[in-house]
Amino acid sequence: MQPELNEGCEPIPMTVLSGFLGAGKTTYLNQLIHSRRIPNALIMVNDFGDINIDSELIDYQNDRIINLTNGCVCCTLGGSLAEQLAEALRFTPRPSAIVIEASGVANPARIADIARVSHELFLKEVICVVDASQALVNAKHPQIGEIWREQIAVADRLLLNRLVDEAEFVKSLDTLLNSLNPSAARLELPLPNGAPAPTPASQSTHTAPTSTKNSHSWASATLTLLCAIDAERLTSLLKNYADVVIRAKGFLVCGDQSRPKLLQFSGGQVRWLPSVKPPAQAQLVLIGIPGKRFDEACSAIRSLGDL
Amino acid sequence: MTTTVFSASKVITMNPSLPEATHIAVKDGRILAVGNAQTISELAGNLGTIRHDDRFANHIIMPGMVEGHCHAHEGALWKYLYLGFYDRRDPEGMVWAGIQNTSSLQERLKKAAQTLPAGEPIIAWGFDPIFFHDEIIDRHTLDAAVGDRPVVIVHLSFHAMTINSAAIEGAGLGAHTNIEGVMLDESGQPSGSIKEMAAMHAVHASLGVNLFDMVSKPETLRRFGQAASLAGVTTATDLFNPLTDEGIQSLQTVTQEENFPIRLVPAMSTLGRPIEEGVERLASVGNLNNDRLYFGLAKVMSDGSMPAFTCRLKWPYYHNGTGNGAWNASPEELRRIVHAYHQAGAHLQIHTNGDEAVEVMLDILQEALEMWPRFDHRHTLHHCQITNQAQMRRAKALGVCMNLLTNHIYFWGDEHAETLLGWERSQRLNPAASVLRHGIPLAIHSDAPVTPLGPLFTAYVACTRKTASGKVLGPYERISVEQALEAITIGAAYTLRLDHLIGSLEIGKFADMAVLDQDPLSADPEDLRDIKVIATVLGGRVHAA
Repeated sequence: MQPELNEGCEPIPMTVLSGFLGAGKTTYLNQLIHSRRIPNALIMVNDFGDINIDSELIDYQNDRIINLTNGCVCCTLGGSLAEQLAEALRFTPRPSAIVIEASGVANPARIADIARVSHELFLKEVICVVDASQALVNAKHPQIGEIWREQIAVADRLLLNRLVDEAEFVKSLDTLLNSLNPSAARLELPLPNGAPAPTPASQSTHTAPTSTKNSHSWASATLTLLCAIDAERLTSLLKNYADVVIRAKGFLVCGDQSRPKLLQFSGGQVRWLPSVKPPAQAQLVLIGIPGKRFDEACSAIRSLGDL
Repeated sequence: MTTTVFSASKVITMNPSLPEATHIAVKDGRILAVGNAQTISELAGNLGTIRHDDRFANHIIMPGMVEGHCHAHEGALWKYLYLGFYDRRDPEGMVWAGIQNTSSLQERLKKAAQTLPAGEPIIAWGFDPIFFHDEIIDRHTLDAAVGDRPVVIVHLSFHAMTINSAAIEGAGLGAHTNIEGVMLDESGQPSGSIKEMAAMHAVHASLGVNLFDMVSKPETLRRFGQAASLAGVTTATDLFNPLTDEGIQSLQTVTQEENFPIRLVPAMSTLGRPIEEGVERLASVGNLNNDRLYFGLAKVMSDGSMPAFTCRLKWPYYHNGTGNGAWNASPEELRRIVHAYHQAGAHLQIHTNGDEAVEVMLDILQEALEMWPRFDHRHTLHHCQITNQAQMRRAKALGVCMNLLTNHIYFWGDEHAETLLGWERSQRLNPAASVLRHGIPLAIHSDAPVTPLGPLFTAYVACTRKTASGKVLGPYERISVEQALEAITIGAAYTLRLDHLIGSLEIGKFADMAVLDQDPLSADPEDLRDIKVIATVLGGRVHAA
């Protein structure tokens, strides 16, 4: 049963890339592909968030990307990483290197074990990309702290992203990382050009304005837009008023497109998604800080949709 | 079109305006009328020819049952040898006796070896060591039965395997005794027990085939349909479907075959794909629906499974001291997924086994609903095995439905009480009565192939709360037969947003029925599991069971 056809083949180097959602794994992967340091590589991606490997960077003749669907095995049954990797190793020609992007909640040591067992693979390294600005919060997080610390502890190399430039912060981070993994090499990743300086995360970065927390202090407005709107102009208006408009959502018909789109605006970012069910009416809901400027934003946006 | 009138000794309609009847008239696949001989005969004047079908005249007709949480894998697994602890019926109707001791396990492996070509590996499924307590099943046990070829037994949890010496050798695991997941015996040799990804990978690699890649195949769906129909089910979900192009094609093909016996409701998995691509895919398949195929559900996985110790539990975690389980995705990822799909108008089906998972998903849903209110969303939490009263009050307030993993009370109830959760938490295991007390829409399920597909059995468990050893676990959470029947028909249909089409027998709805040999409403709850399904009817077409 031992696969004879690979007898005598060089073992393939395997790299495990770990780190939480948003830590910067995909950016790092894109840079790795772009650098052409690993032609003819097999890249196995496992994340639930916004996978956005730049497809133009991939030369399909040589490189391959496999999206892993590694949910709870008891419910997905097949398609586990173990089985998909076995299938990938049967490809010809064999890849010259394998990079596995671990799920944000996986323990990369378990994946690294695959290379330790297999005759066809050897473990090159385990890399963990760390969003440094979130580190002090994540380390103590009641729900994810344990797996976050584990990921740091088993890495050979830590890539520190969004390092906060404050002496006090750097000191606390060093103490934390030394306590978890004193021997791993640490490398600071550069900030992209024009990116704002990172600030340390606080416990409540993602809290929405819910009714239990001062709902009276938020303004909201529902705008009915009577005609198709110009998506670009709406996007720039929202960005202009991002100081007072905190969130916006709406099912809208844009310019030349026939199917309605869902607009989501939060954290200063605009996203357009296809809409599963067409709404009865194009409407936009705005939530923000009450005042003259919020009203101004509403009327500017409303005028986009006037007949 | 001719009108067909079915008669029965009793028709249970699940329609509160007319709970009982004796006749059903069907036209064009839909129910034209429900009533008695007299009211039906009055139709004749208006409709011309009526064909009378009295083959069920001595039987009970109820609405075709709705299984709100099962997987089409049920149709794929039977390609392999069944080694489960309990008796189980395959899609062709043959009952495989449960394997309850070492010698019957060895016997079945020996027999299987005789039917396979020399050297071909034996692959088996359904085995769960938790039922074997002190009895050790290791490679020696397997070697004694079959030594001339690899034997790979995939556990029911799908998280582990037991393999024989030939398979250990084939996978090259003998030399790697320091690998996590390759369990060792007292002499330091691999015991044959394989856990964790790395060791499982080695076994998969040595077999040279993918074991469970059949899910998108038409043949798997046909066998799944057959298995469901045998159990009285006329609408079944496939609650974690990757919705690949090939898979969508198969779903369309099979559901348009004239004699396909069920309606299929696939839930698209939101894992392993970018959010925007997933939302786009769900939007684009919406117009591929037909009478027997309904897209629109999106599945979210939050935590793991109870017997595998991977659920996310609130303090004090597992009863036996094992720490907390694992997230399938971090709460932040789950928040992004839920918010995006909720806003895009998708109908979410969310896997939440442990009570911490329930709590986190309620937080996320509350946030989504406060930001982007949506009436009648019917987002449904699945399993909810030890959800507490406070969580149920919140679920009610948020309009969230619950679909409970009721079959676990029977199959793993004893283990829950002794090892996993302890006595007190087991009293509220899958708390159907509380869910109803709080006014939360209720469904109950099998999670097939994890437990056998069979809503009447699930109803039996919900009514008696008896474990496999016969103990009653949590008597205060028992529900009435009527409530249980509702949960496996109109209740489940509601959580799928199909209650206007299926789940009860009323004028205008699909003529989907289950024909039984006894009346469940007058039966002792203890006997529910023994009621036989004689046939199902889908859109007026009879499928014998």
